Amino acid sequence: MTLWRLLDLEITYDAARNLAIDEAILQARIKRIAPPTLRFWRNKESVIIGRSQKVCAEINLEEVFKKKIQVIKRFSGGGAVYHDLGNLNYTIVLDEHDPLVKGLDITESYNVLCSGVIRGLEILGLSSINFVPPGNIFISQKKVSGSAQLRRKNVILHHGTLLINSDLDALRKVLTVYNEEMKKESTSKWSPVTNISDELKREISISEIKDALIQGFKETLHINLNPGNLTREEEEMASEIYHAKYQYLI
Amino acid sequence: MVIEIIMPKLGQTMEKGKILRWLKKEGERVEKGETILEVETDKAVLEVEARGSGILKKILAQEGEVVPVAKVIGYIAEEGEKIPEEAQKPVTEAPAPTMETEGAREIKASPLAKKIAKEKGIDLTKVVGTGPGGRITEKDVLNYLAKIEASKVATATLPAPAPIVAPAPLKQEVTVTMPEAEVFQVLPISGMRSAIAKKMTYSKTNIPHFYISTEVDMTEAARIREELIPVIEAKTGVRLSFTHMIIKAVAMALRDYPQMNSLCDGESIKISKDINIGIAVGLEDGLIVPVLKRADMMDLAQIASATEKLIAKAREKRLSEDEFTGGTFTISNLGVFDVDSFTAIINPPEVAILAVGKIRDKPAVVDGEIKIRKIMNITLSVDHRAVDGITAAKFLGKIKALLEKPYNLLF
Repeated sequence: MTLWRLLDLEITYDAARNLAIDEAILQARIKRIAPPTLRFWRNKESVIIGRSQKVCAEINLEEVFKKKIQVIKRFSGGGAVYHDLGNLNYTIVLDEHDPLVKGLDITESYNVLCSGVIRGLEILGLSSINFVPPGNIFISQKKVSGSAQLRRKNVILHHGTLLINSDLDALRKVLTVYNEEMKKESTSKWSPVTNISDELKREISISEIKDALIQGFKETLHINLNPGNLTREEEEMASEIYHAKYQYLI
Repeated sequence: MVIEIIMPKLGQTMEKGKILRWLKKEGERVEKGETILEVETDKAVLEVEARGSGILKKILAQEGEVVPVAKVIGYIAEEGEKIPEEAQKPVTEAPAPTMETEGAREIKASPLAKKIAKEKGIDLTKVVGTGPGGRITEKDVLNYLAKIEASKVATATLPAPAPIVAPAPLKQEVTVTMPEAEVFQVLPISGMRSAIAKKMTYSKTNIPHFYISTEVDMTEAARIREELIPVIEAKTGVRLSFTHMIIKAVAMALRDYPQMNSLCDGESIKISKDINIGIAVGLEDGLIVPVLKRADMMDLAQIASATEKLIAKAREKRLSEDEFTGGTFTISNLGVFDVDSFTAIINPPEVAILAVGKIRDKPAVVDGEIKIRKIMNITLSVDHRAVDGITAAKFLGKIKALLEKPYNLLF
């Protein structure tokens, strides 16, 4: 049973800051000054664009300005996603040589790292859960979670989304892939989406979800989770990364 | 020491990566361990480090390009060191055909004939010209080519468990010359696509296909499926699909008509003892057919569970050899994609394949009255060297009967 750090900081006002924190944790693990970590985080209304996408092709600019949605490009691959407080993000930072993922393909590593989320959803009582590689989780053929990775110096940063009670109308309005006239240039993959609360047919709190996911990860990854905070070095690195990469973006 | 920068291969199934960004320019100094490049594959961004120190002498693949794994995409070398000659050519360009031209003897041939001969490596001195004054025309070159190819046709070997090993060469008939316009996007042909091409071409050119088709009333099947879904889901965690029911019906029908479960290579026909059903699965870059072994020994729940496992593995490209070889019959279902009916190409050395279409609500006559029923078209493609029309028709009829009275599938 390995011991991981559980990071649960509610910083929701700036998506860029959250991405900088993710990257700082990765750097800290590379430098061996932090343990393998599971982190939960949320953003208020924002769109997070994939590393190799063209920003303008993925967002409906009118909606972005009208709703004051923050737009950020992340360092990992995949498609554009919409975040609001009804969406829970999770991040896993672990070594490529960790027994959980050692020797695996990228696709296989997604299977392992998403398994905690799938188990968490089962614990909540959901069925008809389908895992569609790489890293997508569907309930009754509708997507609730996607994930992406960044690999640097033999450490993996794997992060993903989970739609709990997100404003799906807003999601469909701001992401061009859902718009017949605007989707031509988008490189995101279209999927029908759903909220966990809709599938469970009841209201559910973010903390209930977090508890289920924590249980899920403990079971599938055979880890113990020790609640902790960012170290001082991580905070400094996050600040540096934030200022270097994100400060002047919309 | 000259160091190659190569597209990294992370794991067994990674086939290619997209260059996102070079962090260093040509001519810049790089240190061992320094991140010089970012690539993307499977939604993962990989930061690639320099494997040694030196100067980034040459970048062969640019940002935005998709490169196969293990391909050289650049060179690091010290001042004064020379990098390999072929570094002059960009990595993703298709190799130019190398042709040795025959001696300077003047051969009377039309420009088109000369062009085709050059492309195909044909010695024009060997071609008989039928044009004015013995001039070689395009037709003469093509005839000569056809004669050469006809003598090179490979025969397929009948395997014990393994599928076709040596199919006929891809270009068996009149050559097709591709236009040179720049408007096209050239797609590199993956290993999978070229394997499919070879097999399909062999099948269509060597197997005399005939087709029979029927409409199946799936109303009862749909009803029983609704009842069975929770039962099977509780038992296996898998949602029962129409495909699972069709697999069961086909397996049972093959028991009654073993000739449909045989393997043929044109020379002999062998009736297989085991009923191994292949299920065509579409992938992004082609298709693969995982095989459900001894499907007739499984009940509906087992078929559902085993099939979904196979399909998931197929999509992740993780099938073991045993799981994609040894099939004796294939089912292809395009109903999910709104296709009403289609004819599939037989998967040799099998002798038949079943193409399944979409289930639609349609008016049908039931007990002399017009009712709305759920109708599905199935079309069987059959190898006439191995099976005759009547046997095939009876087999198809059996599948239809089983699906229309689906309580039969519960045994």
